[in-house]
Amino acid sequence: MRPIRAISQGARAVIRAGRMPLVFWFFTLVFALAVVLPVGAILYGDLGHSLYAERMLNNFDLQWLAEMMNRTDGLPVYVFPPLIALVAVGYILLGTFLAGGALTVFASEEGKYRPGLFYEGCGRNFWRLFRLLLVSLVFYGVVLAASVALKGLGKSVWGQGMEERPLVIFGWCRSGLTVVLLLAVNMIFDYAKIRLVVEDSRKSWRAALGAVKLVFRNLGGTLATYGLVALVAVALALGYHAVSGTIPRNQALGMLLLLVLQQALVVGRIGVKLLFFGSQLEIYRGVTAATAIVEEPPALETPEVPELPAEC
Amino acid sequence: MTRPIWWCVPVAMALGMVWGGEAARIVNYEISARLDTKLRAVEGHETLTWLNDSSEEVRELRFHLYMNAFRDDKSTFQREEDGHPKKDALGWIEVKSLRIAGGADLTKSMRFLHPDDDNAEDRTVMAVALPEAVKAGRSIALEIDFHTKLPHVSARTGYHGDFYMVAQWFPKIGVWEKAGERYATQGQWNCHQFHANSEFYADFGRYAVSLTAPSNYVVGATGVLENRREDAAAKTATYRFVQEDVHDFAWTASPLFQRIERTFDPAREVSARELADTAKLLGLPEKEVSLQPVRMILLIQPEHAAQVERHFKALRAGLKYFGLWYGKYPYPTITMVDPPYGGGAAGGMEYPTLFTAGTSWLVSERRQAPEMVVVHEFGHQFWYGMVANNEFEEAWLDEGFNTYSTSKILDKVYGPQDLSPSRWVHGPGVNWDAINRGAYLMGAKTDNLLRNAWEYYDGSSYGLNSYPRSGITLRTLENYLGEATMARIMRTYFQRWRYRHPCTRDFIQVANEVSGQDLKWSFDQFVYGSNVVDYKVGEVENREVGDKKKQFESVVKIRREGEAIFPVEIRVRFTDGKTADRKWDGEYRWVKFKFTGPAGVESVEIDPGHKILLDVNFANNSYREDVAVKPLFKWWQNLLFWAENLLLVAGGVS
Ligand SMILES: [Zn+2]
Repeated sequence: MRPIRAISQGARAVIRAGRMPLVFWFFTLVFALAVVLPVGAILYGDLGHSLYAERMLNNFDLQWLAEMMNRTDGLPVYVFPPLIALVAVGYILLGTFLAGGALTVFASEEGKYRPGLFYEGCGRNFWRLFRLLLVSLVFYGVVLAASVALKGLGKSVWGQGMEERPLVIFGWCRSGLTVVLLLAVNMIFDYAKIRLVVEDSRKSWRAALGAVKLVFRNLGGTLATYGLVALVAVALALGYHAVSGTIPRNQALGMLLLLVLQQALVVGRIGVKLLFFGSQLEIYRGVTAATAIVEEPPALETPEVPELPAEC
Repeated sequence: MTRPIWWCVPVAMALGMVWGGEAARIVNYEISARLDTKLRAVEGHETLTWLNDSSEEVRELRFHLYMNAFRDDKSTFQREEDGHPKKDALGWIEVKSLRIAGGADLTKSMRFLHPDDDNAEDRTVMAVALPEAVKAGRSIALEIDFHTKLPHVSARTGYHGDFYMVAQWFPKIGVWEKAGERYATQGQWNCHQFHANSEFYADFGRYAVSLTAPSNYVVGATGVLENRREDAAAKTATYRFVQEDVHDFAWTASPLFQRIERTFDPAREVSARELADTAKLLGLPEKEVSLQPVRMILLIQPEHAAQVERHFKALRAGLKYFGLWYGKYPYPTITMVDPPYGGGAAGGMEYPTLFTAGTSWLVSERRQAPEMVVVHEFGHQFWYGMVANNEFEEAWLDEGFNTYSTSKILDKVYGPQDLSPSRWVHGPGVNWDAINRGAYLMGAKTDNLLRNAWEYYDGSSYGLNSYPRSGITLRTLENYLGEATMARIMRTYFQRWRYRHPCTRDFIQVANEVSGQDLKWSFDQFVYGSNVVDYKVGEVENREVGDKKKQFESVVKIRREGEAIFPVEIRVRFTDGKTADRKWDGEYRWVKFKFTGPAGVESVEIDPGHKILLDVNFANNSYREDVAVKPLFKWWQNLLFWAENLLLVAGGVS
C-alpha cells in the first residue's frame, strides 16, 4: 500500500465516519472546561466589575497574576497544577477509551459512525488499549531517560568549558532526536492499537512488539505515511496562524470569529488524529494482507480436468 | 503633613553643591600582585596607609578577609548559603606577615573576630592590636604580605577555566566611623563578616596596583592603566592601574577576552534640548548638568561578539542619564567585563570604575538581558561607588536606589520588554514598574524594607526588599511628590553625599528639605515598616429620586483594607460621561462620597493614575456597574483554546 493511497483512503474513512470527530471534540471541550471554568470564575470574581480588566484588554498585565498570588498566599500554585495533571490523566484515559471506538468504526465494513458500534468498540477495547498505554509509557520513558542521559553526556563534555555554543547546539540536536524518537514510539503504538482492535486480541506486549516489527519491515511506507499526515497538521496550524492574524481581536465580532476559528482548528486537529488512525489502518491492512498471501500454505491443486465424455 | 516650603529647594541644591567634592582620602593602597594560573592564586604585597580622620585615638585595626568565606563550609557565608564547596573550588586568604612600615611586626597579634554572630569558625574579619594608638588626624603605614587562593567563581569572585575575576582579594581595612557619622555616637569600627546576602563597605582613597599575569592574558581593572611592561623571558606582563577617590579595587584576566574601546562623547550623546530640559527640571544652569567624555572599555567573550553594540548602547544610556540626573561620571574610564559561560557567578557585580555584566549566546533582542545588567551595574558607580552607603546594613540605599534609577532609564531608552523565555516566542510587553511591583507582590509583608542584609527572613526577602520593593517605594514617592521634586531630591542627595557614607536618615533629611514636606509618615511606613497599602471600592449605590426631573442620588464608599495609610485620589464617572474627582487622606477605615445629579455612577476608580505602586491590589481599586464582558470573553476563549490544545498534545499518547 502506497502512503498517498493509504492517506486518501484514511481521509475517506474519516469523512465516512461523519460525526465522530465532533464526539471527540465534545469530550475535549468538556475536559478543557474543567480547567477553564475555575480559572474563569476567578477572573470574573476578581475583574468582572473592575476597570483593570478593560485596561488589560490589549496587553495582559502580569501584575494581576502577582496580585492574585499575593492575595491568596500562592493558592493557585497548589490548586491548579494538580488539577491540570488530573484533567490531563483523565483525558488520556478518555482518549484510550475513544480510540477503541474510532478504530472499531474504521475497521467495520460500513465504516460509518453509529453510537452503538462506536461505544461498543470503546468498551470492548478499553482494557486492552489501557494495558497497551502502560506498555507505551515504558517506551516513552526509555526515550526520555535516554534524552536525560544524553544531556548529562553533553554537560560532561562541554559543561566545564567557557563556551555556551557547543552545549546549545548539542541541546538542539538532542531535543530534535528526542522528538523524533517520541514520534516514532507514537507511530509504533498506533499500529499496536490497530492490531489489537482489528485482530480482537488482548495481547498488548505482543501487539507492541509486532508493531515494532511491522514498522521496521515497512519503514519507508510507515514513516512516509506518518510524516505526510504530520504535514497536514503543520499545514493546519500555519493556516490558522495566517487567518487568525487578520482577525481584529478586541472587537465583539472579531472575538466571535476567532472563537469559531479556534474551535475549528481543534476539530481539525482531532480530524488529523483520526486521519493517522485511518491511514495507518490502511497500511496495516495492506501489509497483513500481503503477509497472509505469502504465508498461506499452497492449496492442493486439483487440476481442472475437462469432463471426458464417457467412453463409448 | 506640612505645607510645602519651596524656598528650601534652591537652598538645598546650593548646599548640595557646596558640600560635594573629592573624597576624604582615608586609605592609600600600593599593591603588587602576581597571578599564578597553575595554583589559581594571587601572591601579593600591600602597603596600606590609613588616616585616622576622627577626633579619637584608634588602638586596634580591623580588616576584611572576604576570601576566607570560601575556605570551608564552616564560614558564616557558607552556613547561611548551606554551601558545601568541593575541595578544588575552595578559596582563602592567608596574611603571611603584617608589620608597621619601618616598625613592629604585628603578625602574631592578628586574631579573627565574628562581630555579627557567634561563629568562631568564621575568619572573614581580622583584628590587629597596635602597640601604639593612631592619634587623631595621624596616619599609620602597614606592610602586608598575603596569599590568596581563588575559589571557583562564587559570590562574584574566583576563576572558571582561563577566566579570572579577582575581587575582594586583598586585606581591606574596615571603616572607622567617627562620632556623628551615620549612626555612630562615638568612634567605632564598622567591619562586618562576609554574609551570603550582603555586599561591602569601605573607605575612599587611592589605589595604585601592579598586576602581573601571563602575557597572553587580557587584563582589565579598576582605574586607569598607567603602563604595561612585558617580561619576555618569564612570558608575563605587568600592568599598573591607578585610581583615586574609590573604595575598592577589582581586576580580571583571561586570554579569551576581546578588548574593545569606545569614547562616550557628551557632545554627540546629549542634545542641546535634553541639556536644557534637564537643567530646567533640576532648576540648575545648563553648565551644571553638562557631562564629560569617558573612555568605555569592553572585555567581551568571543561568542558574544554580536552583542558588542548592545553593551555599548546600554553603557552610553547609563552614562548619559545617571550623569544628567544626578551628576557627571567623574572618572576617566569605565570597564565592562563579560564573564564566560560557566562563570556566571562572577557576573552582575559592581566595583569602582569596573563592573561585570552577563549575557548568553542567543539572547533575544526583545529582552533587555545584557542591557539591564549593564545599566544596573554601571548605576552602582553612583549608588555604591560614589554615594558609598553601608551595603551590609542598608542595602536599599544602593540596590534600591539603583533599581529605581535603572528601571527609569531602561523604560525610557528601550520601552517595555518581552519576558518570553525564548527568542522565538512573543509575550506581552512589560515595563519595569510592573516587573518590580510584580516581584514585590511575591512577599509584600515578609520583612521591613530596611534591615541588616543577613537578618532578612531569607535570601529572597533580602532581594525582594532591597531591589524591587525599594524601587517601587521610590517610584511611589516620585509619583506623590512630582517628577521635578523627586529629581531635585535625588540630585541633591547625590551631590551632597558623593564620596561619603550616608545612611537612610540622611536621605530622609534631604527628601524633607528639598520637598519642603515632612515625609516621616511615608518612610516610617514603607521603609521602616512592612504594612501594605490596599484601598478598595466598597460599595456603589445609585438611587433614583425626584418626581418630575429624573435625578440620582449616588453613594460611593471607599475602604482602607491595608494597614498602611496613603492619601488617595478618587475618580467617579457618571452615566452621562461626566466625571468628578475627590481626594481622601486615606486615614480612617472608610469614607463615603455622596453625589446628586441627572446621572448615576457608572464607575469609580481609586488612584486612577496608578501612582501608588505599593497598592497590593489594583483589581479592587475600581468598580464598574456593568460586567467587563469583552476582556473576560477574550481571556476565557484563549484559555479554552490553549487548554484544548494542551489536552490534544497530552492525548497524543492515547
Ligand atoms: Zn545591584
